[in-house]
Amino acid sequence: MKKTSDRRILAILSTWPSQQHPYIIFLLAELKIRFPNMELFLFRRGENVYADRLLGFYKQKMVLQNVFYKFQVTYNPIEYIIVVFNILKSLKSSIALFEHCRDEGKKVYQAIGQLIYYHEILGKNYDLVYINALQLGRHLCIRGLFQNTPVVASSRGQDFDLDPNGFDRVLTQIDHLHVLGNYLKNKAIGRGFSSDRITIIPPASLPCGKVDLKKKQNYSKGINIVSASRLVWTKGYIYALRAFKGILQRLGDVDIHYHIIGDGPQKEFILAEAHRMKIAKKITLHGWQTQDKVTELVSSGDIYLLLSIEEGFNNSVLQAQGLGLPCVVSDAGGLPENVADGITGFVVPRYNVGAATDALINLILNKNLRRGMGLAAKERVEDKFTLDKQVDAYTKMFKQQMKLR
Amino acid sequence: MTVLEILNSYPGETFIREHARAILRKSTVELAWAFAQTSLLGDLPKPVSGLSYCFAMPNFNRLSKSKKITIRLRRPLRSWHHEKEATVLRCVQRVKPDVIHFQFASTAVQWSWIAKKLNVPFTFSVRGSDVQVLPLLTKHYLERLKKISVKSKRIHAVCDNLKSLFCDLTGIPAAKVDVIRTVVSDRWKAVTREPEPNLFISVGRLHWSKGFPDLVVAAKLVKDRGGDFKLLIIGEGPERAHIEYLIRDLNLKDCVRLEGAKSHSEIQNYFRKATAIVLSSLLEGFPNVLAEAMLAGVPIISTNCGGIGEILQDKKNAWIVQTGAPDDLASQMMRCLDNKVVQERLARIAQKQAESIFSPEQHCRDFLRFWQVDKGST
Repeated sequence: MKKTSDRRILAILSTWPSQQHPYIIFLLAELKIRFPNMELFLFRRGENVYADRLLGFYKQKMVLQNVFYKFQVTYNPIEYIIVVFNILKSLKSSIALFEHCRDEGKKVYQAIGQLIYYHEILGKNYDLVYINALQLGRHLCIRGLFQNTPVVASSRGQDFDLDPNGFDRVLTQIDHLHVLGNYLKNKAIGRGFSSDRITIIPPASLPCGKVDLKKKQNYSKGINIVSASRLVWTKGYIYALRAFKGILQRLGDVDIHYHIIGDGPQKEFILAEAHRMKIAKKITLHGWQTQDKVTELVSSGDIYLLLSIEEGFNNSVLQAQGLGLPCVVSDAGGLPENVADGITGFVVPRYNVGAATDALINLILNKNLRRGMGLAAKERVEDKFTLDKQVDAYTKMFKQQMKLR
Repeated sequence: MTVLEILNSYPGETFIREHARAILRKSTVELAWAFAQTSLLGDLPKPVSGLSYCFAMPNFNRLSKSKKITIRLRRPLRSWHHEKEATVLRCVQRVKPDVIHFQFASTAVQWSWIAKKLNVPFTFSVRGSDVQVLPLLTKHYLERLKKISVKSKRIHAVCDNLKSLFCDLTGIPAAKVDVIRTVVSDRWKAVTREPEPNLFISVGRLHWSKGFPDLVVAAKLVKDRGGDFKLLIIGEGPERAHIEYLIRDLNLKDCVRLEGAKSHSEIQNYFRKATAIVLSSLLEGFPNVLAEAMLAGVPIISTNCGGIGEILQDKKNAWIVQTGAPDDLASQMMRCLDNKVVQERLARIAQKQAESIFSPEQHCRDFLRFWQVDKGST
């Protein structure tokens, strides 16, 4: 029997390291230590400098030891020669993949596309394949590429919510599903996936690294409300702005400021809406920031606000709780599992601006409540959502899956 | 007199096509069109008959490599910057315009150098996002807008609200800005109303400025209060996934439906059947769809944003609600379901007003005065 350290695992990710998803950077680095033979398959090249800063040069290099990339169209003829060579080298696997694609109803050019895109991993034998997001599974002919290898995939939100029927084919091809919480587990069961093949592993609060948490930002002296996320419609900024306006209307001349950290397509909307509501002076858009800077900006705030309308679990809320901020969140997706209502913050019904305003005012006017909830949040995160616990759970899940075959 | 109008994308928005028809039908002004945001080159088929010229101005950010190389080969020794400028000017010069009119302020900001090079006076239109949103996004845009506003001969705004916003932003005196209302085709008047019971429609691009999430939440509130209705949302755009998700999440599949983009004749058919049109916009100049609905005699429920309040007043010719308040919108929808006689009366009043406000004659007269065309050419 092989030792754990000898096991060959293939982790398929869209990109690594990714500035948008720092949690994967830490998770992969830790998993690579537990499974040194883990190889990566990336859909796009990542920003290596970014991982350098978070992990250090050597750790980053270690993760990127065995990396394969999805084929990109290029002007370099040598690349095409390599593709043909790889396909011919593992001819048996190539034919099997081609036939499998045709059996699945794919057209000839689609089947050839699969051969070209994934030529680097053709014919390789792995003990386990891990697909980091269900969305990636849709591009792969999973059973054609990894005939009898156990395949584990992660559901991280947005998949079942935004395209309810779109992942049924992927679910039939994977052996095991990892989800971030009960919300996603129930969604998967609703799609006919058996519950005993699902493991819940919540995300972890990320290490703060070299961030000086005592260093306060140049915020206003009053109450500072903070949100940190991509500026996309799923995050419900339309309701957050209205709740903030509600506070200003009800509390009058109280010094309250709203800081929004992040960038995205809804920036235009947030700016225009803030101007229309005449609250633009009370709102600061910090734009995209590095993970360290986000930690600094969030830790200097007093209340964390996120009124998402669609959510898997949300890492930023977890991070804010780890930094000791009470959170006001909506009940979208996994947020009620993320925040303990009435203990580490308030969970309000989504689309309900009035309830969010009430919860925020409750926290603004009650300093002791803010402090108490902040401490409780920090304790809960340090107890339940640590990186060690997350990596242990992943290791256990991977080992179980490898044993089954 | 020849007026060269510079538009963004081919074949031009409906309201600009109607504007051209009104001008060409009622005056002897020669109208030429140039498109600034296309990947096309050279003369194009005329979207409105009667235009003296219709062509694409080379937008070098959008042209393909092969097109750029073709242009470059003409004068290989000349600097690329000068060649680009000369190519654009060559297109425009053959029109010999007396006035250049930019149909959007953002287009004027980008292309007003043409007027300077040709030594031709220019005017431009202020229509909405070019003064409501763009100045918030980029630092230099506002500075450039101020500069070209000073240099332009006159400025056109589609409603008083945009006029005052523009004057506040740029510091331009109000006397330099003319409000000329949009023009609506007579075919909307020909819609024969045969309203189906409890059918609401909403028409617009699926964009955040239209506030469709508020409309869907309002629909949920109406349903929860026992209202029996259907809501059809007509249009396409980047917010589709958002609205689809809301419909699923709020369990409204049986009463709210996304219809996608529809042609004008299809929209006329929706207007014929609709109990009322509902507009939940957050940011508008004056929405053309409201002008069309007014002329077609469709009862209107709308938010009070931009220039809407200048023409539509609550309980006088429409039902007007506060912007960004789904609760109010739901209450008005409920009231509309219960008061069919009142809503048809309001719609008739609005229709009469629309006939005079959005008439092609009025629009043509106003624009000739705006360009300071001699009276003899009318």
